[in-house]
Amino acid sequence: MPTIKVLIVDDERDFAIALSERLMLRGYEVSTAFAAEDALPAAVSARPEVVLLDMKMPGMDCSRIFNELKGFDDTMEIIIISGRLADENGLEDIKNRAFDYILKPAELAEVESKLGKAWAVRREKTDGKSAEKTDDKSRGTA
Amino acid sequence: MNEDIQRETADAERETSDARFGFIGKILSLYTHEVKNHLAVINESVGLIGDILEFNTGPSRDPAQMLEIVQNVKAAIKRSSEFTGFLNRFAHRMDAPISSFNAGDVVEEVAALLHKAAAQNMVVVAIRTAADLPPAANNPSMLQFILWLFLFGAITGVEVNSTITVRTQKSQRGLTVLITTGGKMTRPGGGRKSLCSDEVFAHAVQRTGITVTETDEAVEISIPASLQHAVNGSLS
Repeated sequence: MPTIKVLIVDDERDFAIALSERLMLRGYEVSTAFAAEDALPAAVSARPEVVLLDMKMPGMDCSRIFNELKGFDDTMEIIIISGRLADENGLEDIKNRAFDYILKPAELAEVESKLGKAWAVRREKTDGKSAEKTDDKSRGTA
Repeated sequence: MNEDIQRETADAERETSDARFGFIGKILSLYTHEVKNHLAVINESVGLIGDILEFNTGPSRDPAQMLEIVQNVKAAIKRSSEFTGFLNRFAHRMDAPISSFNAGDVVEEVAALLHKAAAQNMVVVAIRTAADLPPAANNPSMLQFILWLFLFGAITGVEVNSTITVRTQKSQRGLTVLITTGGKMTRPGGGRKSLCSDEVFAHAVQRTGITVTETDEAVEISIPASLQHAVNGSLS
């Protein structure tokens, strides 16, 4: 499997750093953002394929970050990671729109499994888009 | 007529209990959320140490960085232990309906347990407790419920980057808790009235013998030195 590009967005700095180092040791390409407002600039810079997004961070509600990231690249898969089992109204919608949900503290095997699945789905989407573009070009030249 | 009064009192009692269940539920959800974050730091840090030993490589393989990871684990355990101590004390406030307590401790517990909510709402809660507080004899759990109504209401209602200050000091009547919001209450869904009805609030106030003065920027809660004195005073 090629290197998976992951962005971790979490204001719990020690958690994000430790998780990123563990994933890097396993061959992932990882970038981190420790504040809600840094999520989009980090995504623009790193172009991740999968984002691990903390559901509750100071400064911006999760749905806004989610929409900003998807607005930048709608093929990017977002996995919500949180210490909360249930959430108030509104966040339930995000949990449904996200690729998956991971409850803290999580086993690394679970994180890796979900990252792998998200990456595969994202790859299908981008391959599909490439095929569409090729078809469009073929039709244009025919 | 007596039956009507009894029914109204029972209704108010039940509604107040329901509102207090909501309060306790909120405190527990904030507590578990915070502790799960601490556990996640411990889990990943310990996992990283294991990885470094197993892979014998990586960005944190030198002893100084290993030590830093261990310090992170110790800090997370310390934070969890302190936070759990606050929850334990908060729970024991319900042991007896009336007890003698330090009002500064009662304020500190509520503020500490709302720390996560304050951080998420981008506000700071500053506690200023006078050193010479006399002990209070009252219902500490009900007082914490009333404090929560104002403090959580302010945390969720005040504009971001505000500092909410809670001052506890001695007064002629006994004690005063003064909560100043340090900003405008601009966010929808905030404020004391979003958390319980006026009837429940009035019932809780009556049960503790306190008096409350509310303005847009501040709330002053006057707590009698003894609930017994407050009741006798109101009867006389």
